Amino acid sequence: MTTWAETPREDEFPEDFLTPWQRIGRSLRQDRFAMGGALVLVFFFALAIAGWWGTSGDNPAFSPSTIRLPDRLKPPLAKPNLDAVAPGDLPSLGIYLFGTDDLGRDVFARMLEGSKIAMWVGFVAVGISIILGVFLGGIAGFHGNREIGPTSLLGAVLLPAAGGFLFSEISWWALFPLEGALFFIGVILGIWAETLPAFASLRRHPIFNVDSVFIVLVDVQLSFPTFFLILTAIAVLPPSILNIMIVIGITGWVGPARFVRAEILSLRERPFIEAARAIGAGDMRLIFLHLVPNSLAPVLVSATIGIAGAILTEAGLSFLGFGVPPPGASWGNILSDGRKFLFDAPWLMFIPGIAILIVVLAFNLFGEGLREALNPRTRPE
Amino acid sequence: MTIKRLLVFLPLFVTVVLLQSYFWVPTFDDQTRGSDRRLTQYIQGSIGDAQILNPILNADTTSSTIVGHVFDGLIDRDKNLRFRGRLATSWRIYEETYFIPRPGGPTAGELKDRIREEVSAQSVPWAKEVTGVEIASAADEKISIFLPPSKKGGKPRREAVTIAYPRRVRVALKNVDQDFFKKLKALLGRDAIADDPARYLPGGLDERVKKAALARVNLIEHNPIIIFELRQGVRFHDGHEFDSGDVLFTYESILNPRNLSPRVPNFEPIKNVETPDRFTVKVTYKRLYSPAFGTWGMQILPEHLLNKKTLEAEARRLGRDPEKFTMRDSGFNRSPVGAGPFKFKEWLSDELIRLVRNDDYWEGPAKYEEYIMRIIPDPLTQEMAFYAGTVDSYGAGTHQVERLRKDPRFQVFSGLSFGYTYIGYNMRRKPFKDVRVRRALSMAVDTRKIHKYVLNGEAEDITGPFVKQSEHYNKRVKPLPHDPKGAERLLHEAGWKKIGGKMIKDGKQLAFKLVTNNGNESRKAISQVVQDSWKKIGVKVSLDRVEWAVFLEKYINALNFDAVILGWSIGLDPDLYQIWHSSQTNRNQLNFVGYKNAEADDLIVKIRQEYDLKKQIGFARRLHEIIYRDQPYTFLYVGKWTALLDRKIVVSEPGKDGKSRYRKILPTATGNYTYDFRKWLKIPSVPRFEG
Amino acid sequence: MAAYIVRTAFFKIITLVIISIISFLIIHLAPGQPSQIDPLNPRFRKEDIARYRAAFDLDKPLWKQYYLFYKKLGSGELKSFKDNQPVLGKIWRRFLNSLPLFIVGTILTWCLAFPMGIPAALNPGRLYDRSTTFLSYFFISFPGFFLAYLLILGVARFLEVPVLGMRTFGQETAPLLYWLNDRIWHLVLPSLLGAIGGIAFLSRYVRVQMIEVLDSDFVRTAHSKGLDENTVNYVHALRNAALPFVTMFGLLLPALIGGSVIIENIFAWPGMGRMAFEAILARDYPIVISLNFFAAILVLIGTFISDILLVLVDPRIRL
Repeated sequence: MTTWAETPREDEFPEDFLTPWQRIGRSLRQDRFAMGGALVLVFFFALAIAGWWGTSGDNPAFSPSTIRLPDRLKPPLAKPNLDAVAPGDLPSLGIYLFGTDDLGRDVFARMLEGSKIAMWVGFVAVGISIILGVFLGGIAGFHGNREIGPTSLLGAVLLPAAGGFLFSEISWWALFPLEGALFFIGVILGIWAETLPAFASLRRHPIFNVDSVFIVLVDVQLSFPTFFLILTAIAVLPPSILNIMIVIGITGWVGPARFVRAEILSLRERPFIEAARAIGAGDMRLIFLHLVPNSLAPVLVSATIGIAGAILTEAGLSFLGFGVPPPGASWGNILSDGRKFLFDAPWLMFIPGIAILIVVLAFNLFGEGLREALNPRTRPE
Repeated sequence: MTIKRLLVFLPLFVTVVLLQSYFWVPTFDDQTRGSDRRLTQYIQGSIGDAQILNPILNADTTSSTIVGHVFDGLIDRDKNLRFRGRLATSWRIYEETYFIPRPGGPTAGELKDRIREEVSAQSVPWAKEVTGVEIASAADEKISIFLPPSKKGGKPRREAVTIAYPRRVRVALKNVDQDFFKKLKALLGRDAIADDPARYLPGGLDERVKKAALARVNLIEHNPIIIFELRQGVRFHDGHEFDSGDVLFTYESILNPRNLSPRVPNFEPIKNVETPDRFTVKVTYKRLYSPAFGTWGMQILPEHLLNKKTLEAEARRLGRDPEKFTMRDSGFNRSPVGAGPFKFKEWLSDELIRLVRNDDYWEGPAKYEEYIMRIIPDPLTQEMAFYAGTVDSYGAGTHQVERLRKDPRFQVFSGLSFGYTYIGYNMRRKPFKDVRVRRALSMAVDTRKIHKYVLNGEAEDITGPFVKQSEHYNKRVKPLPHDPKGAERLLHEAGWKKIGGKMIKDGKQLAFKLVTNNGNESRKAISQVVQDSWKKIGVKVSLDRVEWAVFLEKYINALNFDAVILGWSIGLDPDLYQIWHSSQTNRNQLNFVGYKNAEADDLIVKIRQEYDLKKQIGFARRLHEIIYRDQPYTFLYVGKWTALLDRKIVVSEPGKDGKSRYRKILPTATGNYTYDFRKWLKIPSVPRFEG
Repeated sequence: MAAYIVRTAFFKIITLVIISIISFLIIHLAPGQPSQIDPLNPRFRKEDIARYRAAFDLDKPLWKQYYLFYKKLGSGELKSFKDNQPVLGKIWRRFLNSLPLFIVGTILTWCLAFPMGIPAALNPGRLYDRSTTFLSYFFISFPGFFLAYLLILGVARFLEVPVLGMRTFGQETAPLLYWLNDRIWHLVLPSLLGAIGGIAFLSRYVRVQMIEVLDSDFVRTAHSKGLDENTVNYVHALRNAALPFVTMFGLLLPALIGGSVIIENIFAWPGMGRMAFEAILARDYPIVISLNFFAAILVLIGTFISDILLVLVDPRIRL
């Protein structure tokens, strides 16, 4: 190909001259799957925003909850029964693009609402995982070698135990933060105690380091069959979409945390960190201002894949009857409500099923593309 | 290159091993592949697992289905829903009546002689009915009065009161006759029987206690008595012979408060149960209450496996405190022993319950060797299991009926459910007080449209409060026509004028709120159809849906509603007291629409006191007519169920030559297709029947 | 070596303690007082609340509740709310039912993932690589129950054979070969569905590992020594690439167990996952907590074995 441009185009730069993000972008553009995924995602976001605008409010453009009994189980593209359906209840498009369900609700409108909810669930849940993961992974990566002495261990065990003893009937939303806070206070008290002359002799007997605490935490999380755990928690909590997002989010921190930790471990030996340290930057500043932003690329990978996982998890919960509570329509509950009608109205299962498949696949392929872009060795030549 | 080869052949090998298994599995058309045992099994699917396999304790459908096969009751119902004997071969119903002579009038002895004379002289038409006249000696009866809390938040309490009955006259009758005392009064004069209950109560009673106690003094008393003759030679599955002790034990276990049996209310009207000999049971009732007879369909427990001694031994074996160990804790509930057509074999939680044929069954063994209840939690997989031939029956949803009827692989049965859906009007409120308004509203509703759109046509009109296929239902009552014009005329008669599309009276439009419970989509749909229908005759209806618990508490029990959409599921006994009697119109009672009609009240009481089926049917049909005329409800529909069976299941009966012959399964007149279940059998291929 | 095992065991025990605490505390997630769990749920009546209080010793301080709960569980005293059967026995029977699924699932995962991943790594970017990549993600992205229904639908519609449950009824007396194959047939779909995510994931992982190893110096050396292609790829490279998979063994287990909730429900398979779901619906908390706990222990044992194996095959790890 001939080019008349004076300056070389971006993709003509040899790799070494590009910033990491440029390199990633370039690699992505060469990956057809990832580009396909990205395209689908753009379309999905557009749909979700359209869903947001089109299905909320008192008098939405596409009403996902209007019941039209004469028009039950109409196949896709069917025309409404003009004699029997109230004029105000007719679908905005004039036809039922995706058919109707067993109550005559417009599946297209429900899918739109579902895309909004899918985006919500995906982003909020993954947002929570990322925040948790970056925090834990960041500390583990940066302070991994710091040793924990007997006193902090004692503090970390005793204080929460005392808390549990004192507040045995407290409710969950107070208990968990309380125990978490007590844990941290215990550790900090312990670290402080080690500086006291009285405990000087203990200082020489470190038990384990921060990194091993991190590994234990990861081990704990990975040991639980996650879906089991999520299901249990969701079943105990009152049904709400917020609880679903929180629970999925809290159980998904391991991926991002590991990425961040690994990245920071390699970054912290780099010259620019040394330099920052030399000019007296504090630890927190170093971690969250310098290290974390530079390790975000792999987090992006796990976020992309995490969103895919969250959408699937929500669908699984819906299948068991613990998904987004009605009348809210998520793709998961359209799919699982539709299963009764597999033989009589197959579109009720196929439309949401395929939609989930496509969007989740797009997230996954895009994530895979990102991963490949970050790891040039596995990238196809 | 072993590794490379291994990487190709190992997966290949695993895949082949797994997939070749397909060729060994029986298909729907060839269910005998491998073994023809499948033909001797009947497999039923169930969404949920059983809870407790004990006839006096169970409360869920899966358990009661299993219990129905493992145990037998004294009676059940035949093809025409009439009673027939099972463990009881026959029964006799008669009554003993008591009355207190009026103090100051003729004494008990004099009255007794008087009645004896008249009876022996045959001077009264009912003389033949009397089988004995005697004196009952004076006796005290201890009763316990329940006092509801006097103020909110207070505790209810019970007060013991002793009623001192004087010498009474006892007249035994051949048949139960609810009008006997009317006849007796006609003979002896109005004054012969006591009329002041207070005399028989102790003095110094608290006002509230006294008021309640007065109602419990029986100046006259009917004691219906049922004598069951039991079937001899029936054995429980462990070989122990069934006798009257088991019946008595079952009754006592139900009433034993330690067992917390949900069946207690059914057996409360019983005064006592006696066993004159091994195969006779005598049940005496406190009062006239004919529906009580049906409760003897109750399955009978084996006394020798559950009596106090056995339970104590079991408790000791398990190391439990015998004091706290009740029938609920017994292992019997997971491996029951009854006298029914099938024996319990195994129960694998959440997987299956397996019963095997009882070869000693008194009516002859069933054709099937095994009855298996498979627990398949997902309705769709249950449907697919049916298509694959691993479940023998399937209950179709209304939307599936049309498709499945056409399928040549299945035989289809359908029938009416026991119950109906209705719109109830609060008759205490203004517009609904007028029967013309209620009729107009009913006429304006297009029930056909509801049947068609909401229930896919799987429903029928119903006009009264009885099971539609029972004899009590009055088929002569024709449903009101769907006639909006007629409805408007009726409203005009009632003083409403249609102005500008609105029904107006005294400057106000006819408007009210229609409430139903949340979560029932078909009721929600009905409410929309109805709202639309009423709009056309100028009636404005707003809709509201609330959660079930709130709906009951804030609307129904508080009697705070205009109109509601609800449904009743009803049993075969025709007792309508709780739903339709005028005494049941208070808060927390079931006649929440406030229906009051003196003639209906009278009929309701007569029905529950009448032991003669023909007369009872007569009363019921009249009551049906009255209720429909008054339209306290708009009766919307009775639903239809549809059940499918594999076409290879047939009825096998012995023919004239002694060989068994197959015939098609035919439902009874009332739609019950499982009536001949014990004669069912599966054959290897779809049969062809002549004719 | 011994020191390593002791240290690993020590960390596993700490993990176990934390797991036991979390399993137990889940129940305290219920809003308000834990003693009033779900008062609006008609299934949870007054007597249930009383039972609940007794089972969890709710009048005692939290640490004591925790201690008593696990004591009861260990001594077999803990009973299911639903049918008063001891929790341990119930879970054990269900575990035995689930075991064939786990085993066949694991076999499928390991047998299919390598042949899928290695050729892809040998020719990265080629058609085979790209199509396996796509297929892997395709199956990872499929909502599990949707796929399950499609498969069952296909089997029920076109093959007309039973797929649900653990066996076909009526085959109890069939000749051994029929009986055995019937059992195997019933395992095929559920275990394949349970393994599908693992296969996809593992084959991707195999590919990445192989590519990294193939790019390393010793492989180049082996090539330059003139060793034949297959020997280099399948013996030298694969052996080194395979090391990290030992850890995957433990890590793939939780997905298999967690996924069983949906699969077992669809296939009416009376295993642990089904039991968990039934218990959750019935608010049978002793079962729910114990299942979470035991499932985690199972995984813990899996990872422990992996850790030990890893050291055995790769001495470098001990550092």
